Amino acid sequence: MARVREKTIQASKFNIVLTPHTSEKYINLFNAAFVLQRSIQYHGSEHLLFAEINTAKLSENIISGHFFLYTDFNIDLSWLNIEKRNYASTDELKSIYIPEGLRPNARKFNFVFFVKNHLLVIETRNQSGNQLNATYLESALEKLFKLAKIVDDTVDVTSYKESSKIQEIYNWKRLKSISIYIKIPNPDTPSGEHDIERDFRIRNQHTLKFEAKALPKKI
Amino acid sequence: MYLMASERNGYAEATGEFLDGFARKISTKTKPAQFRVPIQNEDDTTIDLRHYFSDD
Repeated sequence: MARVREKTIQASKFNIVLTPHTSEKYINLFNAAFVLQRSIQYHGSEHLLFAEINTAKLSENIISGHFFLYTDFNIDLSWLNIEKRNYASTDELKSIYIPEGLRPNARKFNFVFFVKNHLLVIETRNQSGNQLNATYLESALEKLFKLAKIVDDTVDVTSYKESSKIQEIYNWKRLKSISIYIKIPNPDTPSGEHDIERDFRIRNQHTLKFEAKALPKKI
Repeated sequence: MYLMASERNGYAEATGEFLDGFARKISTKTKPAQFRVPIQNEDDTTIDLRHYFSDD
């Protein structure tokens, strides 16, 4: 019997916040983002395309699907002949033909969205070893969802941060400065964060910045 | 409370002297949580993440 090798994927979690906030709105947001059929710049010439959405498990509050990352380019830009180490000649340019709709360097990344908790999980390292940067992804997804957003709603995408890094901050022997940026939480954010959520609502805030600096060290 | 809230709704930037005596800067913005999941169906390019993650 063939031995089954084990591979490892890596994923990041993203908190999607829609205001106002209902399950139906989140489902509509994902459908709108898919129907939009727009590529979003991910980083440099790399683009992200929302390629498939699967709502078969919607009764379990789950949407799944996948994105593609690919390299986009303008075919009309100057071409280099790397053998001659010079611009490609007009004759050489005539041999270039790339069919409309084809782009190179395609990489597929699966996702699953838990509607009830508005939690998006995306592969950041797929089986082929291709990687996504969660920070770039956060920005690209926010652009995509803002384009797809339902009128009058605000949408925020925030990647979950490493708890260990927060713990490191708690463990400072001497904290010199700290700045904390918090976006408006989901209305149903559980335990302990209700005060923040309540403050956001009362003051009609979207973002809070908390900043503290230590006194100079005495010698 | 604010620092914990930043884990899922924002980020934090800090400078300070760590327990080992070295001064450092930390920005949690550049430290997204990553989860490693071993899988066995290596021939299947469509991984169903539902098998590996739940909504809690």
